[in-house]
Amino acid sequence: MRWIHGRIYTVEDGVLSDGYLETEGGVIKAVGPMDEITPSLGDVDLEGACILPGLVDAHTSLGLKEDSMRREGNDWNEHGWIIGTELRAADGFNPQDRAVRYALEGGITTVAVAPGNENLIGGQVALARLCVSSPGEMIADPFCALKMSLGEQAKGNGVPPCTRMAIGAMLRQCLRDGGQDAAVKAVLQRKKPVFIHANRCDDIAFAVRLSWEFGFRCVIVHGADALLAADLLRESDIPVLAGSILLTPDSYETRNMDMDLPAGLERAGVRFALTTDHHLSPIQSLSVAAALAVRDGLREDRALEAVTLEPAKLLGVDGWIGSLRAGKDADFVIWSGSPFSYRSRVQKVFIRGKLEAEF
Amino acid sequence: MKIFNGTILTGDGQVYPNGCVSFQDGRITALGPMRAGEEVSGEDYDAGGGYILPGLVDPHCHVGSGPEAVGSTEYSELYDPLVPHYDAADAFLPVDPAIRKALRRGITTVVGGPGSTALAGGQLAAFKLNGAYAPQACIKRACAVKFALGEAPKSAFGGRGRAPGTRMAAAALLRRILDETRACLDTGKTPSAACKAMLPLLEGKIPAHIHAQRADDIRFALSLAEEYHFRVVIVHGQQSPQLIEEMRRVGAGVIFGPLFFTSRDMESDGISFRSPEITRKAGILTAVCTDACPGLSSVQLLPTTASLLAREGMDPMDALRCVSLDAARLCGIENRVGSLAVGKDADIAVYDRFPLELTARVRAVFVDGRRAAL
Repeated sequence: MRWIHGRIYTVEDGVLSDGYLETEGGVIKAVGPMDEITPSLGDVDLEGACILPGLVDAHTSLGLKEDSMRREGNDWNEHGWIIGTELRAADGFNPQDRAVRYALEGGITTVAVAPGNENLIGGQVALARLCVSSPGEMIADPFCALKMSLGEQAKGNGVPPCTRMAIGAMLRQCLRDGGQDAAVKAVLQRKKPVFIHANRCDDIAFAVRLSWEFGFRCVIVHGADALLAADLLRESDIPVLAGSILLTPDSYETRNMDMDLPAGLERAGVRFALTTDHHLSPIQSLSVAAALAVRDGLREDRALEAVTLEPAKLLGVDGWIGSLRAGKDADFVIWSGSPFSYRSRVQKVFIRGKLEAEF
Repeated sequence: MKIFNGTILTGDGQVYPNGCVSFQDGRITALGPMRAGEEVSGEDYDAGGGYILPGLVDPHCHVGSGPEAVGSTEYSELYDPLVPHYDAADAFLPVDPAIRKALRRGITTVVGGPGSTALAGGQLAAFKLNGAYAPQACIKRACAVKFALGEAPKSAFGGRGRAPGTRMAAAALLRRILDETRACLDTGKTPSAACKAMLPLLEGKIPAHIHAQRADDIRFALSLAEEYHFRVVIVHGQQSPQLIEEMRRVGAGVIFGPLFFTSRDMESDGISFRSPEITRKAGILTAVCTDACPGLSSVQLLPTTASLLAREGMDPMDALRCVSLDAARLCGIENRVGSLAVGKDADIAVYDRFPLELTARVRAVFVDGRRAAL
């Protein structure tokens, strides 16, 4: 299949104002400017519409905390399991969650499904590709990261820990004794990263310290105070999965979360991606969050990276998704116009070359 | 003072490319196209070719009563389901960080107050974001009486073994206070504080803003309004597009929102940026709100909400009305705010580009003619 005369946001190789994208067997065969090819009868003319890689949200509760559901659709926090290393988000993921369709409507093709924040170790984060035509195959990797939580959410849920001191002691014990636990072992061997829920700057600093002590790879999730810890994060090369910047701070801990955080991280030289933290802000607003980050000073190309290639890197899947390049999977979305314009809508969503949704 | 060199969108449909708006003592004194030879001084504000709009109005939010980053809120009464006399003006914190954030996005007026726990939760008030405490910030007390239907009062009260635990009890209790109020009107009996607050509703002076999401709750709200002859505005109203005919018959208005929101139960199902255009097109006075409060929704998303109404097919000018003039009309404050017109308050926002663009920035905001710190 070849798509021609599109405005193509390749992410890694700039924007092609009049370009083509060719796919074969679910993989991108070629991307380039129109003058590289001679159009043929079988081509699909986009007439100036835009092609973007499918967006990626690296921290959601999609399928775990289901849209329009209470208890019956809530498999997000396992209360009482303080150290839930063997809990897998993949086992609670319902591909029938209606928000999956909303995600596609927002141009999102890949998400990480993460357990909630109320356990010190919430469990194993799953990678889901939103191929609704084959719901049984949505979980692409049941373990792409381990979820850890610090701060207010993790303490005081009726069981220890009640203080940040206890959080520190309990996590250290888990990591020290974790040799028998497959998930902990994978983390200690640096095969999988730890996604650490941390907002307050002391929690961020603790996360960094813990990663040094035990030698694991670390991603700060949310990062309301990340600018206060910017030097530490930059020097340790620890990225931030920032957001949701659409939310109103509801505690002292999150008081610095605002829409200018991404631009601030960019200026400070800290690596980052954006997340909606769905369901806390709706998954389909990921591109809106990117646009609002641009409003507050982030460059457009960096905003686009923050919802495509950067989250793909954090999830370790940038080898096959997150940008439009020959050899990568044909996960792409046709937009009526620039994703940063209020007028633009998602029209078609393809995953591995297959049309999964049309709007 | 004047604001010049920008495209004026008055909020009621007028557009003046290269317009100029003048104001004095906090009121607009003139507006229209920049006249040839019009003099401007160093005190006047050059809009730099951007857009000049009325300050936006959020017709339903908890800015000031549910301060950001604080554990405590002022909008959830849990001990008495019938407190229509509670006054939002008694719980407005002008240092809520959300206020400056709202100004930064061009919002200058918010209507807020009681939440959705009590059946008759109190009186909504309109606040100007002028940095003042309630008496000075409040441009209208008792804009409306707030009612709430459905799961919110049921779970707040029924969850603790109190009434209402069902929709039946909610209806019975609301009828009880409406009947008592009507008796006061009919017989001249001295009203209780609660009934006194309800009198303007039954006298037709103010509307009820009724939290209702599910179609049956909306239908109940409409039937109550018909039965007791009061004006009604449906708040949230997810399923109101199913009830167009009934809403028109009753003359109801609707405030949708929050729209940047994931539905958390069956009741709030149906959140859609497409709904406001359905009701608006049917002739129902329609606005959108953020319902901003910590952990739920951000007031900063008000203009962005209008942007997405336009994305989903609403005319851009109508989308702006949903967060300005029509929002003000539903709260009974359109005589002062919501559009740029001579005699109205000089609440003006200047944007660097077309304000519905997601990347449009607010350059300056004036409240009562004074430039706000952003």
